[in-house]
Amino acid sequence: MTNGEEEHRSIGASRIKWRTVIAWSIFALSLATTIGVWRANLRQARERARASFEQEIERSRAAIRARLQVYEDALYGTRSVFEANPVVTREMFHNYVTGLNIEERFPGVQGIGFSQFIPAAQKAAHVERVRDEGFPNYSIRPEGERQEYTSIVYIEPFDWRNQRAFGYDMFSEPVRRAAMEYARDNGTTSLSGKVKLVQETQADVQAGFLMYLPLYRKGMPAGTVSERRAALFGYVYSPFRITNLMRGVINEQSPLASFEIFSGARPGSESLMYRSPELRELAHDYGPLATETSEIDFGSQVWTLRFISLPGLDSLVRERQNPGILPAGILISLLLLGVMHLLTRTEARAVKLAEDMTVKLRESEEKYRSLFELNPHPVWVYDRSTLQFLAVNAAAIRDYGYSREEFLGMTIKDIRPAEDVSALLKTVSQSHDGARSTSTWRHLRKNGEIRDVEISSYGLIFNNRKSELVIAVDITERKRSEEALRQSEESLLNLNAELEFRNLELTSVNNELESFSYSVSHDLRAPVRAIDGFSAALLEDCQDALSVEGKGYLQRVRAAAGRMGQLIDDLLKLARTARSRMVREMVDLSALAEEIAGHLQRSEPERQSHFIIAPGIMAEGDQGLLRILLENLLGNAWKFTSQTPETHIEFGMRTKGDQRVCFISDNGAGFDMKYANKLFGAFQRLHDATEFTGNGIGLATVQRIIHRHGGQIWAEGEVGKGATFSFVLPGIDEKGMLFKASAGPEAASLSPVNASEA
Amino acid sequence: MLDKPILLVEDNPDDEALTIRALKKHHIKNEIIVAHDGVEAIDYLFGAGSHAGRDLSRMPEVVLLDLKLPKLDGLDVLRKLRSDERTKLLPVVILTSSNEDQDRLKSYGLGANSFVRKPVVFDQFIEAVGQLGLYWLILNQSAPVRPL
Repeated sequence: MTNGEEEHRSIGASRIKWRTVIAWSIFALSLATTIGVWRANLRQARERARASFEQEIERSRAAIRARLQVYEDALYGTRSVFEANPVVTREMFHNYVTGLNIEERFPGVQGIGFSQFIPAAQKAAHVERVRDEGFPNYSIRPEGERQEYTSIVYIEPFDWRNQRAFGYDMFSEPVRRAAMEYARDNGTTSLSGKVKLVQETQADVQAGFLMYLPLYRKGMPAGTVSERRAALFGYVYSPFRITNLMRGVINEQSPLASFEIFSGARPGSESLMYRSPELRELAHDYGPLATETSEIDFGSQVWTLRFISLPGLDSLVRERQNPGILPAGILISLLLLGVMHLLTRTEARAVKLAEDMTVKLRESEEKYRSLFELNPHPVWVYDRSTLQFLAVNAAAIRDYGYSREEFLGMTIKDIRPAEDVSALLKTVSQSHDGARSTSTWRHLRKNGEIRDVEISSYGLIFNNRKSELVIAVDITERKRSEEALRQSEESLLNLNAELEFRNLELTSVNNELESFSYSVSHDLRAPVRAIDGFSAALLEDCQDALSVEGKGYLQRVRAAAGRMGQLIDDLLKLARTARSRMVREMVDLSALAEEIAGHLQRSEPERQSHFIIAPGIMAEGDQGLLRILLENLLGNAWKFTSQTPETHIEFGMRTKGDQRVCFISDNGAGFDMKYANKLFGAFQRLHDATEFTGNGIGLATVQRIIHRHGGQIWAEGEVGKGATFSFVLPGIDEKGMLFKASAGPEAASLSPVNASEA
Repeated sequence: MLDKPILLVEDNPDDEALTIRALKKHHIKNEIIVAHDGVEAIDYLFGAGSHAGRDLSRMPEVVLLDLKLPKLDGLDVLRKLRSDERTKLLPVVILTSSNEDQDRLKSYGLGANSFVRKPVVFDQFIEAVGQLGLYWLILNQSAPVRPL
């Protein structure tokens, strides 16, 4: 891989890394936005809930205030009874309070009472007077001597519970006294702190408090504190059991919030006056969504209200909250991440693909460039309009002798002989786009040499130009060899024609020979026969007229005629061996030899003769010709042993090297090896005709037969010791042996007689 | 038997003389009619040409036919004889100088009864002709001659 590729890859990789970072960033952003929206939504929901909560607080405060206001009004009303009458009797008080119908209209109030201020000096008279009213057990409680006393004189409704308070000195108890003194000094209503009402029993103990309104003596100034103190007559008051009171205040419990009331500014278990039933029911580990502490200042007394949100507020928040935001946002974020990843991966794949393709393209380009550049044939591209070379390969530079720079400054006209340029222009103008064409041209090289080339061209777009790709194959040598081939073919044809002519000639010669032979056989014999015949007639018819000498001459004439007849027959036989058609087959030479030997022995039964014939000698050849061959050779042997007392003739086979050689040997007259080369010539005789008959045609016939079979024959002999005729024939074999003999150099060393020598 | 002639078809006067001599030597007394070419032989056998009006009931005992003849050669004559009802069964002996296998094959193929080669040596010739005469004229029973 080259540096460029590596760089390319690293760019791709970093791009993908960036994509991944961006993808995650987008995911994080989207997630953050989701959380933000979710939180905003939550905050909004909470704010709204908070508003509802606060609204609830206001409502509760207002309700408490309004209720206490109502009681205050009731107390003022009661005081006005005292102010309007010089004396308020128990009965009047009872009637008034009963008229208020407090149980109906003022729920939660324990009652309305009148507590009279009694200086110590008047205590006894007071007790006396109340006892007179019909309450003999009346006394001021708790017992004891004090400077000032107060006593609950009236309390309505005067039921069993309120009667427990009858005669109770509220000055004796510091919490109540503080509120009473505040009311006395300020001339206004006051609330006490948390107390346990004397009306309380052991059951259903509730925190309680009291509301006081001072009563001053009529006609006495009450402008200042001291004047008010001096003028104090007593108090109208109301005891409250706070749980009962709150039942009245809170007609309908809000599901959102509830509250605790503490007496004073400091909340604590000591100061806890009231806890709503809803709060009491809450689970121990309940974490309120909101709490709010607010005070109600009654002048003499401060109540601390602690508001606590109820599960209803949580529900409200949840209701207000869009529950889909978070999951939808997360889902969208994940989808975004997925899409980004997908995009990144797709891009990565695309980048990879592009890189692979780039590599492949580069490889392919290199491949094709090398196809172009390394092409063994000259290849170039030229501009179709300007005919300028646009690219050439190494082979073109090598073959044409121009450098690449020279080529690129040339047009294709420059590599043509001047006389071919017009034809070239015509061809170029006629060629079609993209069409492939092949043609033969003459090209001019830089050194002036003109070569025959076969041009294959194909139209293409090269560097945005209409161009032609050309491959030039030098066919000069091919043309030359084609021409040489054509010439040799021509001469071959001539030769063939001549051969045919010769063959025709030969055939006619053969035919002539045929008719010649026929004439010889037919016509040449007739005069010979006439010579002999009429000589015989002469001898017979005119024997008396002829001298002994004359008769002898006539005998010679007849003998000559006989020889002539034999000669003609033998010549014909010789001619026939030369021209007869050969049929090749496997011939049993041994069987033939047996047959011929039998004939010979029967022809001269009186002779002492022994034939030794090896069995099973086979040869491939023409049966008729091979018979003539053996007839001649065995006949010869028979003839030349005629003067031997006991004739021995052998036909057999021996091996010379890897060659099978047939032989026929006899113990006859033999011959001088000097004349061995004359043996097979026609009319050649080595013996006196008086000694052995014959005309010297037999061995010529034998040799001709051997040669026609592609074999060889030779003879060895010694005068008086017999002769051996050896021959080689193709396919000589013994039965059962697969051996093909052929004429080889060894046979030649045995001085075979060639046809040319004969 | 003796009244039937022998037809000798021979153009060579030497051979004619020698053949007649040979036959005589063997005491064959039959009339010997000589035709010197193929046409004459046909004329004689079918009573045409110079032999017009001949008594065709008297057919030769045997025809001694040379092969090499002027005008119409021996094989043509043989072919003609064998293709005619009247001469189809006539004994024909080919008497020729030729010893060609071809001639022998053709002759037998066309229906020759015998093929005899004229030997060069006269003694053998006489012997051969004598044997011929003996066989064909004395031993052989010809097919009955149907009246024409």
